[in-house]
Amino acid sequence: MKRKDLIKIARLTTVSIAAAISLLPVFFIVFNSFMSVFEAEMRYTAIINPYTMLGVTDEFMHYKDMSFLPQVITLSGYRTVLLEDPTYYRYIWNSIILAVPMVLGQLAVAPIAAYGFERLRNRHKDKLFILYIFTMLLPMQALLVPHFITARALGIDGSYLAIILPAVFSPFGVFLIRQQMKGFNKNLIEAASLDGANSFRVFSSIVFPNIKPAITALIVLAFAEAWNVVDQAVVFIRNDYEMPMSVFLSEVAAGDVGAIFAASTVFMFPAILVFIYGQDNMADGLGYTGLR
Amino acid sequence: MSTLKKYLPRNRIWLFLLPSFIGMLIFFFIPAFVSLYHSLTFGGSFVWLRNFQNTLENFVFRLAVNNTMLFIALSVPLNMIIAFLLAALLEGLKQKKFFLVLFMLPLVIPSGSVVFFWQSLFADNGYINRILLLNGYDTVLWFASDWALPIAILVFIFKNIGFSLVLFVTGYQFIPKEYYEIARIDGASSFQIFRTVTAVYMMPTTFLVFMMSIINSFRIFREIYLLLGRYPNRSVFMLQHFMNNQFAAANMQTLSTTATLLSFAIMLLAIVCYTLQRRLTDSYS
Repeated sequence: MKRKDLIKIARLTTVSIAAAISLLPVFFIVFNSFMSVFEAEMRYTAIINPYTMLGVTDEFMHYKDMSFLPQVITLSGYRTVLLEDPTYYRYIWNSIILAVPMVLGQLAVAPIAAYGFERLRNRHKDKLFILYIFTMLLPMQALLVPHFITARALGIDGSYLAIILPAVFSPFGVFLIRQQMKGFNKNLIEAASLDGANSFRVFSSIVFPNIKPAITALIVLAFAEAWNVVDQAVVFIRNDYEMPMSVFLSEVAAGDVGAIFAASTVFMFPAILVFIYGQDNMADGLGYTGLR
Repeated sequence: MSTLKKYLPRNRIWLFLLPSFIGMLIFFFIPAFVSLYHSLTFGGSFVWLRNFQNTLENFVFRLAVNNTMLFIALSVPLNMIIAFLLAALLEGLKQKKFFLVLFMLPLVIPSGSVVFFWQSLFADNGYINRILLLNGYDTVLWFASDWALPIAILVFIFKNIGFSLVLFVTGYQFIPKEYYEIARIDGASSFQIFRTVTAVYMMPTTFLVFMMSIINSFRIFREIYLLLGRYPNRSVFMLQHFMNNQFAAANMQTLSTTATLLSFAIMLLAIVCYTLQRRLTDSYS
């Protein structure tokens, strides 16, 4: 065998191993979702009882018998989540009515704002854009304070709007899309403007179809973020039954297991679907953020 | 009206910007000023920088800042090195796109579920301790010991490798490949090629990955908090723990002051990064 082929095989092996390691948490969750709720609870509980005392224990607790494969493969976890226990539907529904407006709102605001930034001839626009970038860089904890102040002032504290609205106006999408527009052929826009097309026409028929990669990247990342909202919900939402699934799952992690694996897998599914739909365009969309 | 018109741009492009601008005003800029105001007052009276002084002298705040900086200083370079090496390995592989998808997947897993995985491994009654016990060793309280920091770094790297990797891989696509040919014909060594072509063209990407990694290192707090709790081992008591506790205590002064300090620190970092990148890129080209 040639040396070149050997190198290629070595590369492929290394990358495959790295990928397998990085996917361990995913495998763990998905494979365990085919475990019965009872088996999961007995495996991951700390409590010593007649079922767990035969496992590894000391005088205080039972040690988790972690496994990637269930003893018996069953769909009972899924039955609990999808058919028996309506609380899961409640939480997933909460996640949907939080995440969908967050993503759609960004899609309504960000592309036209990016276009505005790109075409506006005003010497202050770049200063404003730098402010956008700064805001984008700030960690959530620093932004929670301003969001909290505004939510109080507008009286939306305690409602979903307190989480949705700041996300809608998040500057990240504007940045992402404008970076891609910079690589866009300006002559085309000039030509269309000279032909008498108004700004809205130019945007909808020339610019918009050409910024698909950035928009796709925005959809994927914004959805992943919105679907996984935890801190904002804990701060702004008072009622337990209004919490999104992401918060519920994180509370389960601290408490009893139940059907967490099946629930996690069901919950992961839409995010993975959106991700797979967007993955072709996504790399291109993100790639432009590095160019100035 | 006519004077106003003079200041508005001639065309109606600014209308496109308006929704976003109003939103930014209401949810970011104006409350940021209110927050700044909070950080300069105490009980309604103006105290200049007294709050800043108090916060900076606060022992817990200092601990949190030191820990956060140490966490960033360790996790961000590690994350970048691994991502860069993986990107180099992926380059030229037919299955590049397929692997990228695999590495990106951890980004979309709900935090709660990932935390459950790490907990099953490292909890006091976790799987690792079980194995230690079965083999006759003493168990380790991973979360309560100095191991908490390496574990936090591990969790961070697992989640963020994919994002940095994609940025590196796409950055690599923008390198004009002819340059490699030219350099090779001119008889440049691999190292020279790396220094004059790869390093120069990857510079903006590298800075972008650096900046994004720092932002994401603040984001991983969600997982760290769920995993290690409200009052974790001293070595992982982060700035966000400090802020969360202030939030719970509804301490507006300290909270606003910390938020302001954090914002300034990030802005400073961004400015330094940007100028440095400009200067480095210019000096090469």
